Parts: sequence; C-alpha cells; structure tokens
Amino acid sequence: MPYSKKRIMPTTAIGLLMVSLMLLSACGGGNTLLGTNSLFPSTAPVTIELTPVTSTQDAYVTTVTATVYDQTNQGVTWTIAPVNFGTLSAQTSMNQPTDYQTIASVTYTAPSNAPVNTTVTITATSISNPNISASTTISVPAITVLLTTLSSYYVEYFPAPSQTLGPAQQLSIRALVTPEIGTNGNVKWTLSPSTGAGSLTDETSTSVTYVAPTTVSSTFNATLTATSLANPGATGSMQITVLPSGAAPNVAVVNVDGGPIPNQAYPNAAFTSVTICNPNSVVTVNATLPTPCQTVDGILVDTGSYGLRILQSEIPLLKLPTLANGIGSTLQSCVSNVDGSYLWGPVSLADLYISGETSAFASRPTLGFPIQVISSSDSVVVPDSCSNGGTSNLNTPQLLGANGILGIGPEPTDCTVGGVNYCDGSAQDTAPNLYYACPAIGCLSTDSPVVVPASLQITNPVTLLQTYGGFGNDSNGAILQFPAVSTAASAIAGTLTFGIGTETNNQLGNATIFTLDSNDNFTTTFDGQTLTGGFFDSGSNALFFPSSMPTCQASTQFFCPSSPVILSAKNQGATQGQNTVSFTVNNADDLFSAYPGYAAFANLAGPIGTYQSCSNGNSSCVFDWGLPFFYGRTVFTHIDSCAPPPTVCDPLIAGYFAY
Amino acid sequence: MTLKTASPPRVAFLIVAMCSIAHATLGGDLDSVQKDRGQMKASLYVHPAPGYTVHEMKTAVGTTLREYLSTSGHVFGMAWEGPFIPDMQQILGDYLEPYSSAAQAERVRHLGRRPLSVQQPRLVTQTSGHMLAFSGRAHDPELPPPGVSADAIQ
Repeated sequence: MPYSKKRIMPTTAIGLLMVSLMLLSACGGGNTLLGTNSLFPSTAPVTIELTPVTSTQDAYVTTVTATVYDQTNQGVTWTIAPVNFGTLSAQTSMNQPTDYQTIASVTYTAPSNAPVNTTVTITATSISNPNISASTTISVPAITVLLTTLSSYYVEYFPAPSQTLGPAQQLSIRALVTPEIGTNGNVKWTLSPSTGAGSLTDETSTSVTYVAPTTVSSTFNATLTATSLANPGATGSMQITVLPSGAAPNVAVVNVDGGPIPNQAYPNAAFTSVTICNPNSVVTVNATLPTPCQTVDGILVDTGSYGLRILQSEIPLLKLPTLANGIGSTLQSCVSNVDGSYLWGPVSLADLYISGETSAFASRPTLGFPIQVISSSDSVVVPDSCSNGGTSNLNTPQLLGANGILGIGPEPTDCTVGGVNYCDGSAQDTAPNLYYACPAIGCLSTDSPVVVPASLQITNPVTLLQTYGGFGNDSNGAILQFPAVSTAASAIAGTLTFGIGTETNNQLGNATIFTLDSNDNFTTTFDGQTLTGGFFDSGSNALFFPSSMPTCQASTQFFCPSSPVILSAKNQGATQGQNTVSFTVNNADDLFSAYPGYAAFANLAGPIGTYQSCSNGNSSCVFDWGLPFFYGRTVFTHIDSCAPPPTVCDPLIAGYFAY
Repeated sequence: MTLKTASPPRVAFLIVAMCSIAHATLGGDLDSVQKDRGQMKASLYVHPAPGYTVHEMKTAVGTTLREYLSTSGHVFGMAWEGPFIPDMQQILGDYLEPYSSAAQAERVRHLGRRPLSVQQPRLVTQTSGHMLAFSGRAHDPELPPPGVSADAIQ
C-alpha cells in the first residue's frame, strides 16, 4: 500500500506527533518505515494485537500470535487465566528492529482432563509498558467418557442403548474418552452392585466384557461405569437389565414400582426408561462427537394415548429443535386429560432409544420425530381452550406422578382415531384444541388452535422403532406382559416387547384379537349393561365401570364394597373377538390402609357414570380396563396402519387389542 | 412446514363467551342453548321427551353434545361423547369453578390417571374415555323437572 514517508524531528510540536500516531494506527501491522529509533521519545505508546481474537471452536492446541509495536523492541510476556490451566510453549518471535515490530507466537495446550467446560484467557503483556496488554479467549471442553457396545455388527454406534440381557449372556463394551490424547483414553471399569450382579472379563484400559449371572431369579439392574484415569471425575455409565428369561433387543423392562416420586406411591402405574437424543444421533465412534442424549426413567407406559411426552425439567442437557412456521411462531402441543388436568409444551424433534430399539433408523432419521416437551414454567400462558376449565397443569414430576408418558395406543398420532385425522384439516375445517402456533413471547389465553399435518403431529413412537442398526422393523405394535398379582404387591416387573409377529418373541400365538370400532373401542357387557366404550388402558390406574357398588368415603374415585366381590364381564370386538373376564373388587380404602406404599393392587376399581343409566348402549357407556387387567396377562396393542376410511381394511393391519 | 390457522379466529367469539357467563349454560335457558350452538358452530336437532326436550348438537370438531331442557325452559343437564372434550367454560358456565376445584382436589387426593366423578349437592359430573374418545355428563341435582330422573341424561 503506497503512502507518504515522513521524517519527524525531535523538536516537532506534539500536534505533529499525534498526526503520526494516527497514521501508524491506520497502518496496522504493515511494514512501516518511520525513521530510526532514536528519533522517538521512549514513552511512545506500545500496541499489541492478538490472533485469534477469540476461539470458540473446541480446541486443545491453539497457536496465539501477538503483533507488537514497541520502539524498545522488548516484546511481551504471556499469562494464562485460570492460572496453570494448560501450558504455553516457549515463545518464538521475529523481531524487526527497523520498524519496531515484533511478531511473537506461543502454542497453548489445554488440559485434556478438564472437569468442566472452561473458557481460558491468554494475555500478552508488554515488557516495556506493563499497562499495555491484549487478550484472547479459548474454549476448552471438559473430558467426557462415553460407552458404546461392540455388537456383532461391524459399526459401533452412539449412544449405547440401555441393554437387556438374559442369564449368562455377555456384552462387550468400549469406552471412548474425548479428547483422546496420549493415555487419556484409559479408564477403570466398575460394576454396581459389586456382588451378585454378574462379572467383568477381558478387561482392558478401553474395553470390557460384562457377563450376566448364570442363575437369575428375578429381574435386576446392574450399572457398568468407566472412570477416566486422567480425571476420576469423568465417568460414563450404562445400565444393564438382566431378566430371568425372555431378554432380547426388542424387550424393555417395565416396573410397577410406585413411580419416581419419593414417598408418593403411584398405585397401578407402569414405568419404563427411555433415552432421548437430539435428532441425527446415529454416528459412528470415529466420526464427530455424538449428539447430546439423556436417559430418563419414570416414564409412564400408556396404551390409552399416543406419543412421547417428557417434562422439560428432566432433559436439561438437551435443546431439542422445535417447529416454526413462516412467521416464526412455535408449534405447541396440548393434551386435555379426562380428569380436567392438561399438558402443554412445544412439539419438539428427537430420537428415541428404548431397550435395543430406536427411532433413529426410521425413514426420516436425520429429522427426529415429533414429541411433546412439557413446559416446566408456571408462568407460561396456556390458551383457555387447551386448559378447558381445568386448573391442573401437570408440569412437574410431582403433579404428573411421572417424568413423562410413553403413549403406545393403537393409533399412529395423537389426533387420529379409527383412521380419521381430526387435526390435519381432512375431517373438518375447525381445528380441535391439540395444536397452537405461538410467537416467541408465548401464546395468549385467547389463542385458537391450528391445523397441523400428520407428519408434524405428536407421533406414536412405536411406529418408528427398529432394532439397533436398523435391522428389524418392530413398528406395528407392542406387547405388555406382567406377572399375576394376588391382592397387592410392593412392586412387580413386567416387559414391554416391541413388534407383533415380527420376531420369534412377539408372535400372537393363540391370543384372541378384539377389533375396534370407529372410537377405538370394543363392547363390554357387564351386569346387564351394554357398555360400547370398552378399552384397555395401561395408563388408567384401576378398572373403571358403572356399578351399583358403593364408592369409598375417603378414596371417592374408587369402590368400597363391604367385602371382596367377584365379578365377570364379557368383551366383544367390533367385528371379531369374544372373551369373558373374571375379576375381583376389594374395598379401596381398606387396600390403601393395609398396604401403605404398595405399587400394585390387583383388585382396585372405581365408578364411571351411573349404573344402568346407559343401557341404551350409547357410546358414553364406558368400561375402562386399567392396569390391573394387564396383571397376569400378555396384552397386544396393534397400531392402525389402514388407509383413511371408507377403504375396507384387513383387520390384521387395523388397530386392535389382543390377549 | 405449513401451519394453517383455524378459521374463524377464536378472539372474536371469546368476547361473546365472556358476555354469556351470566347465562350459565347448565341452569341456563333456551337462549343459552342457542348460544352454545352458535359458539360451537354446531348443528342442532331437537328430540321431545315427556317433561323435557333434548337439544342435540354436533360441534365443528365432531363431538356430540346433548342439552336437556325442561318444559319450564331450564337446562338441567347435559351429556357428550366424541373425539374432544367440549368447551367446559361454555357448557358449565357458573358451574365451571366448582367443577375445576373438585377436579383439582381429586388429583391431590390420589395420584393417578383415571376418569373423574364429581358428586356435589349442586353439581354432578362424570367424565371418562381415552385420547380421542371422550364422554361425559353433567347435571345439577336440584334442576331436573318433577318426575324426570337424572338417569335420563345420557
């Protein structure tokens, strides 16, 4: 760049000096020739420029360069903050005395075992004038330990799903430490509980093989942990569930154990564990860092609803993408529960991992699928048409009694019944109160619902499940199986098996299929009543039906007969399936006081409607077969995959229940 | 992604709903039945019965609502079934507050997902069903005309 050269005399007025300094600063670090050292007063200002200015990229080795202008040519000293967080190499510098410019470089090496994500400041300070300095910042990620399974497949995947094994079965696991620098990748393996939970063999500093016990009397969980040797604060762990029998990649364990809230037992509710990840979670271990995932237990398994709903408070590490329309409004999901409570929060995109199954290999794997993240904030404005007179916003684990809901009923989305989608505009012009588009500041209480295409509706996650690696399609339904309960049990473990007729372990066998009407109901005949609204609902925590039995004084939503009553009811499918079920009703007040803190009650029942008030068979006559029906049974829930009516559909691909 | 706003905007008729609270639908008169019909954009059929008439409407989102009107002109009960719970603010009117309070009290008493029965001297409600197949009834036990049982509301 051409510019004028000026010779400046020592006697020059200070105003002229100012002009020259302005020129200097305009010239930056260029090769200026501004006369000799002796011509300048020794107090002339020093300038320092650093590159990079900031480094937001995660980096462990960064070269920082200072361009120093100093007539004394004394250069800079370097410091790190926090002190001793990483090291600096010896400085390499190139001095050009003729133009008073020094180019000095150091290489910063971050600690590879940082306990938390840290921002480091590197400062270069002038030796001749310690008041002059310049700084740059570098972000250093924490050391992380992730576990992956060494499957029979040739590719390793993240995240390692929770694993279910049978007696004597083995599982090989590898630890990946990031950053993997030098011996940083070495870990120590531990198994908890330390006795009786199986053993570890073939242990190396990066891999291990877990061996389940040869004899397993009841389902238990073991936790395998890899602890970084470089930083014992960095650990990765994996839960391994061992079943007495029936373990397979498509089998998840379901516990009726009172739920996740301490000292607040949720009777007759089945809980499982899910891993939720940001979309596009499938990466090989040698690719980039895995996407964030979180495993959440206490997820209610519900055959009476559709879709995965999770409390925002339980996935603090995830920032799941939401859906925005052309004007930047976010799509929100609403559930109005039958008891006047409601759920509210954004439709969010996620990958799901449960047992050895995942949604991540489905046809739109990089997008994730729509789930509801239930907003934790109490100040969020929920439209009146969503809360619908209810005052219970179930936005905490205590209020929900769970950390989330896994809705696995017989429909593909939460706005479909009997093949009719009520939210996509195909059935009617008016949108029901399920979806809202809210601007960034939130909804107004007066906002009205919007029409949403099926692909963006909260989706039954079962419809996307395949075994890990995308090898088996188990997306047509699910099976719940529980041991029988005699009166009450403190806790029981059952299984949730994905797919119907897709694997050797999920065949219908001689189960009876009960086809469903346009409301997804069958008919239950009970005590002289024709109840056309019969359904199996693992998310209802008792059997509910109209009866002349007395309700309880204390537990007013349940029956309190003076002594146990043995009853029977006949279920009849819409077009096929017939079976008579025998069941017992105990006094609920007596049960709750005799078995405090218990989780499973086989004989808990309560009222719906009024006895004999619906004998004309209208659809308000309901028999809600809640979780006690599932005890001692294997119940199949098949998801409707028929084209919209009036197409005639094979009952075996329509929605049905079977047991 | 395309999101289509449902028409017409709810804002306009919320104002009407607020004005209508004085006409509580349960316990209201024929006018309130007509108002329900208008606000729910519902079609209406009238079935006569001894001592009362049943005004049956189907809402724009597919839920059937039956309002039971005495010959003296009061709504003494209602029943519904369909894919969505009807607008409780609209159909319960002044009874909404006791309903909401009772619903919340029942949740606090026992954790769990289940149907709801409210049994109070001036309000009886029964709501049940599952996602996309709901049904329910509501009545004020003091309102049915002489000789008409609450069981008629179904």
